[in-house]
Amino acid sequence: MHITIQTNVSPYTNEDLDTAIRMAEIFLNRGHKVSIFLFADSVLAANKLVKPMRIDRNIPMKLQELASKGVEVHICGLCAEYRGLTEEMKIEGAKFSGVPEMAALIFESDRYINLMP
Amino acid sequence: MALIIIKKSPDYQVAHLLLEIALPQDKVIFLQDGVLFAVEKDVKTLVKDGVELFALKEDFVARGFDEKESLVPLISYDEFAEIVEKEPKIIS
Repeated sequence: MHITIQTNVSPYTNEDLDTAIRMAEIFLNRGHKVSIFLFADSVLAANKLVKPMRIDRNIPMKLQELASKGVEVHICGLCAEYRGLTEEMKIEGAKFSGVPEMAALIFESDRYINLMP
Repeated sequence: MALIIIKKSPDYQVAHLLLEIALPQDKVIFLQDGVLFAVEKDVKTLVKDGVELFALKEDFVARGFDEKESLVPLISYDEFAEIVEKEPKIIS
């Protein structure tokens, strides 16, 4: 089954990225194909320059780890440009994407979980 | 049948709207601050008969509650995934 999770709000300020990462881990463990679509402020979660305190979780690195395990991490390209997130700053394994790709994911995924703001 | 995901606390009108639209045989899962619904005395009266309510155990316990305090069944992330696998329509 292909399951896509869309996030819309910024990491650390909100809990959605943590929820999305947790869900992605579980779905992956259960043998599903998983995609994460980072939309609007949630593109900030794909910035590898993010430096949390040592005791805190590193959300971009968690996303990168998921990408290395086969999770597709889509970054809305226009949202990234609005927030100054460049190719050099993005985590490995994630790709700049856009609304057409989002539409394709909505159409093609068996399940689409949109963590609405 | 649909799965309705509620992540906002009872303070948010949108969370109550999602409960109102739930139809019999739909499933509602509370997560994040939505788990606060699990300790609302009248939570079961907020939905139509036949709507199943669940709360995510991890998020409930993370907010300092004891599992015994929940008025709705608590589910693990794996059980959450099982419900997602069964329900093609997801409203959040």
